[in-house]
Amino acid sequence: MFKAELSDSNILKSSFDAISSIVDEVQIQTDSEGMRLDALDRSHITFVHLELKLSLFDEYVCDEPEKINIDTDELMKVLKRSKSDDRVIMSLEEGNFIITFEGEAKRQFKIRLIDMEYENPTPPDIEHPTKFEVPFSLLKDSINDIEIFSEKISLKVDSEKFTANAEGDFGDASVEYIHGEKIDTEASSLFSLEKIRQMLKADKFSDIAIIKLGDDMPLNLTLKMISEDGELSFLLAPRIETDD
Amino acid sequence: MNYQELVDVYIRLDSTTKRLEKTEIIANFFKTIEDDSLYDICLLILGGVFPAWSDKELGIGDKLLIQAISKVVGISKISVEEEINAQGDIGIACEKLFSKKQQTTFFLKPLTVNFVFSSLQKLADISGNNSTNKKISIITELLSLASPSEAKYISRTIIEVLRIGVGEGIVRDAISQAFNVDKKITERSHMLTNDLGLVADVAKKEGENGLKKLTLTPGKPVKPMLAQLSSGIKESIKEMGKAICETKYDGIRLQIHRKNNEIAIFTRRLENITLAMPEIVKLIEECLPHFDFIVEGEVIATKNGKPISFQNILHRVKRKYNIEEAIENVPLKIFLFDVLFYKKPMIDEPLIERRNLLEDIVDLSNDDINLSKKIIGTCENIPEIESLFEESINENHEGIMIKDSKEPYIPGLRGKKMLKFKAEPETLDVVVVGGTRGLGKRGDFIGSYLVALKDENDELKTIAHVATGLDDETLEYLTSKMKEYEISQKDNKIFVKPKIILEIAYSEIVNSPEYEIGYSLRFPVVKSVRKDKGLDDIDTIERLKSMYKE
Repeated sequence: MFKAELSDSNILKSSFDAISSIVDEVQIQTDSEGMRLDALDRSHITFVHLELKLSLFDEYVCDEPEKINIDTDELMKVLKRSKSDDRVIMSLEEGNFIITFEGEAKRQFKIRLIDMEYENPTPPDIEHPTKFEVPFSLLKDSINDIEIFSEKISLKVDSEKFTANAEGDFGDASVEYIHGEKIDTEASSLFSLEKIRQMLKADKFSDIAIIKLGDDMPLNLTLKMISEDGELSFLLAPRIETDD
Repeated sequence: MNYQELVDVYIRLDSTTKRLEKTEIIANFFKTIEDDSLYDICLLILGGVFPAWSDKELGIGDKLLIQAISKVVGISKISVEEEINAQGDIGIACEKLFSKKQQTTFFLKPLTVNFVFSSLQKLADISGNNSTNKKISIITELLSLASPSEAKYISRTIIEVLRIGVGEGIVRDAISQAFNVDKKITERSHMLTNDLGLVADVAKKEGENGLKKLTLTPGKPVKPMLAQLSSGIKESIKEMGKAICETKYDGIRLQIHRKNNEIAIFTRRLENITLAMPEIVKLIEECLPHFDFIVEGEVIATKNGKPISFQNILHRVKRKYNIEEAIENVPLKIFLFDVLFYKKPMIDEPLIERRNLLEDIVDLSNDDINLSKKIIGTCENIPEIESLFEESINENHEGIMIKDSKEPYIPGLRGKKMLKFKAEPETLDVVVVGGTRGLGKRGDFIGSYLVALKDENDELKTIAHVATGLDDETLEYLTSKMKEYEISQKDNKIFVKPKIILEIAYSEIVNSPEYEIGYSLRFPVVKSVRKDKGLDDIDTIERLKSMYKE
């Protein structure tokens, strides 16, 4: 038996807004400690990790570990129907993932589980030389600024500031932010703007983004709830510029 | 097996044009395959992932592929298109782009043959909601795991133009060579099953005896037995002794299968057109016994009960909507002439027995179903056959068929035991490989078409430009198809996938260094667009040469 109830439906909606744009099929795993998901997109560029701990739920029952294989587009279609003050209840029934919204009315959706072979991907263990925090909204705005000129974005950090910039054929753009953290080195990597935009769809998860950067290294972006009950993190492979 | 190993074989096949060498390379490769990937490899070498009897297609256009390439490589779609135009080939462009790919990826596990094969097969089954995105994500997954050379051949396989100069004949010979079985037996099992993967698998596991057990099954179409040209009625009948002579109807040859109460209709290209001809299905249901069978016949279009031009029937075959209306506008009649399976395989019975069986089992009370008009020809009744021919021509049919009455049915064979005698001069079936944009009032259209025949290795060789015989409607149709199949463009020239088949008439065959074949056609004219034919049906250089000699 599996049943999980959340008072805030935005947590799910926001996470899956990002997840569904990155991966088309996922396996959600549940056990007595909570719900968790690890996925790698088909082009092997982005890792996603979602963790919702037992303490986050108003009610949580999971007798034995379950694997919920689901088409993320179908799940997202349902989650989009939630209203912001709805409670959301997840449960499982023979072949279906059931989502119930409770607000003015009780609305129930059954989503068919899918057949898939799933190897739970484990992200590589990477030691980043830098780690700092940036307001989520600022990050999202920077992407919109950069997007004007390029589809690539360079992310840089030094002892004072975090810089996002892009050089396009028709112009350049850059955004600087004084981070105020103790960083004693410099790091910079280049990324696909589209991939970053996909991650930042999760805009109601946390106000703060924790970023880890290195030179020509993957970007680690973590969204953590203040209560530490939930975490959504991403690891994005960089682009490496060649000479020609 | 890793896909890279197959790619290395592709590269070696690409580096020689000699048929024997190609056969040798494939045979040796087949022998090294230890796991269960022989079936997949066989089909992949032929450039596809479905056996010939299946009508499944990948159906992936260039646009989708370009989108996936741009994602994986991390450059804009326009840059991908520019590279394709510069290289003139999507495969080579892919290889170039992949070798300077900027986007890095996690976990490079090598692609396996099975994974490539099953991913490609999946593409054909995706439909409905969001199908474009799902297709792109599967292609993206394949390409992001690919090395530059793998990307070259995956992209070519996806758009179904592998271009390594390997046809069914070579693979068949390679199977015989690798597993030590008689060529004739391999050929026969191929023709009966239309699945070279299966033939290779059985040859490997069970040898000749296993292959001999393969036979045709209702539900899976077989290649039709084909006719050569007869040089004269008298001569041909003399040679055969006793011939079955029939009216040659100007329609479309159909193979009709019944299996477990299900009727399926296939064209000579093995295309399933059951849905386009519900009235024929109903006729067959009513007029033939309810056992499993395969019968063959010609369907013609009629108006007020009289046969009308062959072009009309194509409208019926290609029809997907408003079929009811089409049934009313272009009523069909069917003329059956052979039976290949009736409760059991019949192909090894002599033609005369098969014809007798057909006469026994078909109920002819409905006017729309007939048997082909038949006269047994011997040296004694030549004038009777000659008048069958004249009558046939007067009724707007094509001529007559002259078939040896003792012969078995040999699928796919074009031999001397089945002949056609026609009034019209011979035409060539050619495939369009390129075109040139027109001038003046034809500026919006592709006005001139570069056409090709195939050589003994199934490689295409150009023979002529043809620009006449096209009315505005056909021009418009062809131009839109050329855009659909476009591979690359340069100046006012366009190169396309070999998909469009034209029937070409001409005044004579001439020597010409201008074209790859060394011959060309004087005053070529497009007689018709043969939507019912495919690349397998185009004429060969060999045939052209034999006609040149005549």
